[in-house]
Amino acid sequence: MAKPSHAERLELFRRMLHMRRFEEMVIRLAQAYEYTGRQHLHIGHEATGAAVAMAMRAGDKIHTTHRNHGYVIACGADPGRAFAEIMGRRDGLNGGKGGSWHLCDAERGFQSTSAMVGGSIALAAGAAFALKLAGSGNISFAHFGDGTLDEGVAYESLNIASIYELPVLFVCENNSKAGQRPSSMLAAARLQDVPAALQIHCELVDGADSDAAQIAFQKAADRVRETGKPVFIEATLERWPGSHQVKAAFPTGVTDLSLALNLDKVEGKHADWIKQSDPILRATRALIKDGVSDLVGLLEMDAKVNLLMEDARSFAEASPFPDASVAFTGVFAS
Amino acid sequence: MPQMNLAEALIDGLIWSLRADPRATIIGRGIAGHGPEHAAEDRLKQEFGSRIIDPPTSEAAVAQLGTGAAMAGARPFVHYGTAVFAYEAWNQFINEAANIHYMSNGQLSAPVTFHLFHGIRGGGGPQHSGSPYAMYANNPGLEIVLPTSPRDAKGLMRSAMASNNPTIVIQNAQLLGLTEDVPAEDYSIPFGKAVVKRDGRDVSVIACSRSVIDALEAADILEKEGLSVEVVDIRTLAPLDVDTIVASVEKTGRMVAVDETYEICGVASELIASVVTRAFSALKTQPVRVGRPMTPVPFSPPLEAAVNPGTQKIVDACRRACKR
Amino acid sequence: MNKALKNAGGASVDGRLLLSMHRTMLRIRHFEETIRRLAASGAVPGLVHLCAGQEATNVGIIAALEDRDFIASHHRGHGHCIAKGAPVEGLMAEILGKASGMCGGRSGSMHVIDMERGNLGTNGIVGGGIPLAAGAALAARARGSDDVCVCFFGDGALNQGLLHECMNMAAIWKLAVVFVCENNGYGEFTAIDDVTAGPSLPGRGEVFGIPSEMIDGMDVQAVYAAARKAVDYARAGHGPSFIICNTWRFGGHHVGDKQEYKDDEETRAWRLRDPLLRSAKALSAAGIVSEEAIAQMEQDAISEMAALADGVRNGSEPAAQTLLEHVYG
Repeated sequence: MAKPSHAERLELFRRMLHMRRFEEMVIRLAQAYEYTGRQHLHIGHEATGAAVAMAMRAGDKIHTTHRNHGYVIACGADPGRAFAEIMGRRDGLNGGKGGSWHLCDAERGFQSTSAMVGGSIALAAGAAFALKLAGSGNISFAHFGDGTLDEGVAYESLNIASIYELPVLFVCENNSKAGQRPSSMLAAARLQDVPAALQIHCELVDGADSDAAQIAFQKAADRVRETGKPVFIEATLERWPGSHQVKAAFPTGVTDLSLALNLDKVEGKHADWIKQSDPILRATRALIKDGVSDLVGLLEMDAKVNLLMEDARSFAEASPFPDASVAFTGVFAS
Repeated sequence: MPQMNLAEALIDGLIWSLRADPRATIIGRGIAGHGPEHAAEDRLKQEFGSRIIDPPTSEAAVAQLGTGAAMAGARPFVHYGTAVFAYEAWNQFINEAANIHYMSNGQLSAPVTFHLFHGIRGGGGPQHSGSPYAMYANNPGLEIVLPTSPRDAKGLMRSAMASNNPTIVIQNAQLLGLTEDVPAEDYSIPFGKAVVKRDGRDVSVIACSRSVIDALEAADILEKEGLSVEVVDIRTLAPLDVDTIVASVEKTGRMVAVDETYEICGVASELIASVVTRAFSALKTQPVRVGRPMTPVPFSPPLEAAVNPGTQKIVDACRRACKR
Repeated sequence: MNKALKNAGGASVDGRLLLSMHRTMLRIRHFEETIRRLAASGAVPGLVHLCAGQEATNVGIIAALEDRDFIASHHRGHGHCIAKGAPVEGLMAEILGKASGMCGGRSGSMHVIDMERGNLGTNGIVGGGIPLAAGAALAARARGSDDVCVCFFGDGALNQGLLHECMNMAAIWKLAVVFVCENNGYGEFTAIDDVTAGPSLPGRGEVFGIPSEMIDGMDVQAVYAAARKAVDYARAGHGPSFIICNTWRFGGHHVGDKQEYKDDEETRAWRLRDPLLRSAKALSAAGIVSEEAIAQMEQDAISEMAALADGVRNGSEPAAQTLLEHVYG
């Protein structure tokens, strides 16, 4: 495919900013409220998530893991309703019944978040099966982490997707450090060896490089649409130092786009991650370097996103907790 | 009216479902079992061969394939053969299919039908004789259907395939050969409607699945002793028609609950609880529970017979309830 | 008798060993034939799955094990039990649900457990023995032993997530497991090609860095050679291996299966590859024993099994009072 246009690159960046500022607000909300449950933030994965969302067409479906906030926002969900859900409020995307772990916005094709490791990969194969049966030309997306490939159900699902030629794009966010595999215990030398052994076409992309990700996911989605067969993409990512949030915090600080042009000012324990691995700063630099925008333009965009998130927070805070009677409704579909 | 055995009726219900809804699809083979009734499946293959897939032995992924497809607009029917094989898909049944409607606040539903053969079947041994529906019933969001006659099988299957919920049609494998007249045309039987299979005055036997057949046999035996036994078939465990059960016990004043699942936390226990918490004063005698004793199902025929809550145990239980 | 044999595949085994493997295969074949007759006459409760045709994979693998090593079998497992040394009378009695059966009639054909001989059991769940074998290998390591554990499974189990999970764990922890797929072409009634993706079956083990090979499972010498290598590798602490033995079940999924899904031509071709014909031919060609002696061996096996049938059939059944025994330990 052709290199994305300036407009497409800016749209990708806009979505990435939404994702980042959303997560930062989640941290602030977690600090301000002692709500139950915990969240798994998608910070550092924005380039991948936004690129996947942009490769989706109307009618496509996506299933994600628990690290889902970025995807739901990138798919265009109302951030206010997403905050409200995370806070267990009445106006949440799921009316407060799902929480962070089960965000759902079916209208936008964001089918479900499975908090069971291996859940999303198998459900997405099912969605692809339904889409194939319906003959709509739509495809499904399975988002999962490297740990998922330890699960037998992942292997079963890959085999099924291959043998039945299901139109599914497997998106594996590998945020384990190369060679160390802290989150997965797979004996395979490379994650993609598993799907490759089942005759699934595989690609590898730097998941923090917004341009590479945008091209790779668009190309992969096109391939799934054209061939009707599954494709597996492994997006390598450097784990964000705050990804395991026991206590809500900003270990790498609040994102500052202007740092992209002043990397020498970055100091501290996590300077490497900020300088090399933050997809937002990398994208900022690339957009400016390629003349897609100047810093002022990007800062203006960022300011708008921040305002949007403030409003969204206010919306969520104003939303009451659901009435207890709601706990007993909606167990069965009518 | 044509005669059909239960396997043929199940298949007929499926065929009508596939005719009615182009989204309906079949995942699995051996839907009519592998016994003498297996040929019933041929009709389905002839008419809808292109809508059937024969999956790998990947129970977990197959359950999830059906669930994910249902969430995305298909109407899959997933066949497991022996019910215990679906233990490998426990997570998919419970965590995913049963929860999704609720946890998405109604945005999604999972209209998938899981079809399982359960029960003591003669030499199944500990790993092929399981009846897991009490365990399934302990989870909200699943509909559980237990056909005991060809007519019911067809109509209930039709409702299962039309239902917007994950539905488990769990069939005792030994009933597949039961034969009766079955309407040729399309019809469905709603869930949550128990049926009085036999009128009686002295004691109500509330039963499901295989135990209904055994209870009817027990009623014949007891009739000769002058005991009039009413037999109620709950037909669906979820939803459960407590009204019909209570009405029967209020009429007879005595209750025997019988079912093939284990006595502890089993279906018979739930049936008794549903009566004593609603109509305690209607009971003239202590209710009697008949279920499997708490032991794995052994292989050898005399041992297997000892765990089976069959006709003789129901006869004894009715005598006890009636203080005979 | 001690001269080494060469076969077309290049595998060679000691003459005495080949003779002993042939005898075990004959005993398995005629044990299964006896069970088939008993089942046809209604003496066997439930469904029974016979391994006739697969004797070389049963015997060739287990011949490479020591008595102290472990196996985990599957629903088509009588041959594994016999090869591991199970008393055939007790095995037959178990399959008929008799009190004198190896598990007192509680378990039947699909759950024969023989811990005395390191047999973790036949198993009614597809792939069910795989994690048991991995666990046994882990336990062996924990007690500082170099015991090896073989798990047998069919081609249907290739698509079980459990296999993937256990291969991964065995590879990470270098467990002394030999994964043996007895690929008879059908998982129940489903042809392997219809459900199994990927360019090569060994590739499924190679993904985890596990040495993997596909061999002729109708040639007991080839099976033994592969097993020897894998067992030695495991015992030396190098970790798991994966052997796919291509074989054929002569009798269908279970006694009574009409096998309409099989192609007649294919069946004929496989029949010609009967592992017993092959080893008999190798024995006589190499002059290990005479053809008459081989025929006599077969006659002995027939007599041994046939002589058991009536006694076992008329054996007493377990008493219902024992029902609640052994539910808890």
